[in-house]
Amino acid sequence: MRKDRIPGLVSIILAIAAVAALTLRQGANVDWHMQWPTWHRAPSDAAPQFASDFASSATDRFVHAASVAALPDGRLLSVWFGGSREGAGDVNIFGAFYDPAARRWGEERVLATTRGTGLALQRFVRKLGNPVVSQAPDGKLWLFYVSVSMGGWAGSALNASHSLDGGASWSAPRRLITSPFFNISTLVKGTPFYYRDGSIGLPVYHEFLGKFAELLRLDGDGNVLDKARISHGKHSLQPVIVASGPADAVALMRYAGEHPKRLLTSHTRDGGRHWQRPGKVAVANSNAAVAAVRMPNGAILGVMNDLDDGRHRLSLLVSRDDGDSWQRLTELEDSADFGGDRVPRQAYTPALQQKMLDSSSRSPSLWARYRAKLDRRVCSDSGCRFVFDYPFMIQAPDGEYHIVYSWNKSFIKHVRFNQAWVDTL
Amino acid sequence: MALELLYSTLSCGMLLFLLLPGGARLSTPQRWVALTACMMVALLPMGHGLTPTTALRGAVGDLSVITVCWLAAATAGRLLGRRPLVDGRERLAAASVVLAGALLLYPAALGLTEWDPYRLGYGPLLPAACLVAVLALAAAGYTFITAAIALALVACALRWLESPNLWDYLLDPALGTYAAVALIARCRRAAAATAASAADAGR
Repeated sequence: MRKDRIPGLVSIILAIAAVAALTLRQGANVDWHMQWPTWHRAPSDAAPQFASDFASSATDRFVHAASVAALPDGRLLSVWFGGSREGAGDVNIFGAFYDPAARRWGEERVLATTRGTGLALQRFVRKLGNPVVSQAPDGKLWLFYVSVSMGGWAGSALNASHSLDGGASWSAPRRLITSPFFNISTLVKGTPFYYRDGSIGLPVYHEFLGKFAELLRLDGDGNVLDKARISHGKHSLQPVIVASGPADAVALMRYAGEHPKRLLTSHTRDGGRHWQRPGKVAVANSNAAVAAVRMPNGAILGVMNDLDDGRHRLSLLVSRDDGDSWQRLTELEDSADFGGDRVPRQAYTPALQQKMLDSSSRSPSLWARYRAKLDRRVCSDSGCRFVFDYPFMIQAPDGEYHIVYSWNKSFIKHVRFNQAWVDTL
Repeated sequence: MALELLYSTLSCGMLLFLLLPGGARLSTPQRWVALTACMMVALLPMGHGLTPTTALRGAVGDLSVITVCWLAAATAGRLLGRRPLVDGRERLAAASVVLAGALLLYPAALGLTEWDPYRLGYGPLLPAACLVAVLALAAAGYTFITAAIALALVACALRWLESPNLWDYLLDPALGTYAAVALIARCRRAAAATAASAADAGR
């Protein structure tokens, strides 16, 4: 054999061995059947219940992008990001536990920092963003969150951390590689769900050049197994996936395009491997995040800013045709008096105080600290405005529904209610 | 993490060495000293837990295996004083393969189409396509790109990097850009040479 042929031959042998190993690893059958049902039936004789509180307690932070998980012991864990402003280097991921016996939220604490994330990932990290928490059936509590090394949110990448002790301690975060272009532009917002084999379905979206939604498939250890494109182009983001069977689901997406501004939906019939082309449905969406869960009666319960513009109203809606049409059940938050416009501070302050008092029994003490800080989070020289957005909704195993959302970028508000209350609407 | 850190430190060190101003004019012993110094600089603490390696990693992520092979070939060529180590025919083949892959991958992966070629990197189809490419390129005698693709396949099988996706071992945007610039420069040089020879023939 000619000597100059040896490197080529060695390369071929190595390549054959590697492809065989990869084929064995990657070609393993992946079960695309989702866990079903996803809903929990509450006691039929329960009285209607509805309550609200603030999950966060700091009064001087910009807080946003809350999510919530129901833990096996009945507690809730809500997480969000907070700092001096959105995108600031001092933004941390915060969390607080809800004690169902005492019916109150505990002190908030830091779950992840910019510096700690950078050290764990062995790379420069400039800021943190959206976190999502989720309780897996195998007992792991997952925390997925966004970090940015360069640029704005378009430069986002995902990190995953997990807890084996109900959120008391967390593993070092690890980077999820989800894009070939410097691994930038993958963000998380929607509720994770689980497949029959224990793997995770993580709805994500991209914001660099295009705005589109994808479904990431992770194994039980958080390794990316596959991904599926839900939409493409420049107008759809923040998917929320609501199953209607082991292989059937609808993705609801925030619409970032031109008028008419309507909620986007896409359907899958094979567990999320393939998605139909997204289409607009008959409910307004002011380029704002939505949240939704399937109810035991098969209808979808949704929370969204059903407005053509602004986020000054947050409504609870129901869809009985898998997301094609929606009826508003009630308004969780409304500032219709002001129509979404900026309001002079003299009129704004008493209205805000009343909304705060209506939201939580802790409000008087919070208000005393908060009223002196009505800063750029809600006010500017041209006035102040109401912003209720970024909802996240789950149904706990006891059948109770929990919604968390940003309350004027100043607090994370928690709303809980049961099926009996929904049935009264 | 230790292997990933070693990989990214070597990548950063070689990159610093190749970008060193006046590096080509150094004597052979000085080049070895310079390379060692660049490797140490790659690990130099810059405060806040940062080093040049972690800064580079934060900015562009891990470089692909083919990029690192390219850097290693260029570094070896400079160290041995034989520039370039990989001949022009090999470089042209490598740049062409890389650019073809980049054009296939990036526009669609960034959301231009419904089809996402990046997804192929999680399944068995892309490894099989790479094996075909390895066989074809080896048969044609392109040793460098053949070995680089084979190493990328091995690295992915052993999961050297954070990514489980084969594309991340084959390509990165910096490599795609370099390949495009190299090919454009080569085309311009070829066009200029053709024009010059035509002018000579006309005299």
